[in-house]
Amino acid sequence: MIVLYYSPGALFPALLAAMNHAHPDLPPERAWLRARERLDRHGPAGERPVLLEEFGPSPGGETLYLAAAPVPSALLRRTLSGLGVALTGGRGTPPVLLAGPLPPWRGRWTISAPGRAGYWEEIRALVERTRLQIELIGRP
Amino acid sequence: MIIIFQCYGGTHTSAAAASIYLGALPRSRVPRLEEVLAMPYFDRVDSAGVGALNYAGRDRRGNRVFILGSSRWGGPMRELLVPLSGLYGPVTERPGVAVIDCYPLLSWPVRMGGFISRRLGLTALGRPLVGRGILRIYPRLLELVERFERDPAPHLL
Repeated sequence: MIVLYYSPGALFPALLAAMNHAHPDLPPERAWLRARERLDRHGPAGERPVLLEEFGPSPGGETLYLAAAPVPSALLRRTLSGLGVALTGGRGTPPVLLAGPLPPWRGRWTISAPGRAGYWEEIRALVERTRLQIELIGRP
Repeated sequence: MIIIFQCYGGTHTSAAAASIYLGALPRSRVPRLEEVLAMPYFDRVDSAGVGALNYAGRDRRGNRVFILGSSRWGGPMRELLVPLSGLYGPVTERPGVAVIDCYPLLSWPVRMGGFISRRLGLTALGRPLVGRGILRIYPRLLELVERFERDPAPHLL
């Protein structure tokens, strides 16, 4: 299964979520730093859309992908859901799970910023919910 | 092949183009207003439904035809769908996807009528305005459909 973390606008929330999904034991400071390092490969955050990028595997065997574009998450979710059914004929387990919606990225926080802890918890909750969805989908 | 007619709200120009393509609206003449108002999905999709792929039918070759509203993100949505559709397998192992952008045909009567009907809820006022707007751009809609039929390649994701 493919899990797509999509954030409308900046890529950073999707990166953080994918980082937590792939490395659930990584402390938040390390996850934040590694996400920022990866983000720097794309230039200043939010400068250009990232249409699709493979992030890597998760411990559960899913392949994680990232995307960021100006399209609202709800709009993409509805379109991708319909497209997935059209392309697969509605048969079997859907191959792509659009995780989200991601909490909006509120600004260029430093790692010690007070709001970071709360934001990190929102990301973790979303990733946990995604893992539950995967588990439910995988049940016969 | 999956054929998607895309416009702003997925309920006016794209619905009309899909109806022309599927033969629900005539090609040899401009339809009557009543025929336009009776189209499937015409002026029925509200903002909560924007983004949903609405099934319109199958063409003569068995291709499934859909109608899609992408609001003002039609271009970015098409750009996203190119790589995202690839997640469902290589193009040799899944149906191809063609997206026909009807947004350039959006005229002021259609835009205004759509706003009055869909946003303000004044359908008795807005719907006929949209319908007449569709009739005015009907030759261009027909040309768009025929251009796609002659050469679908530029529309393929």
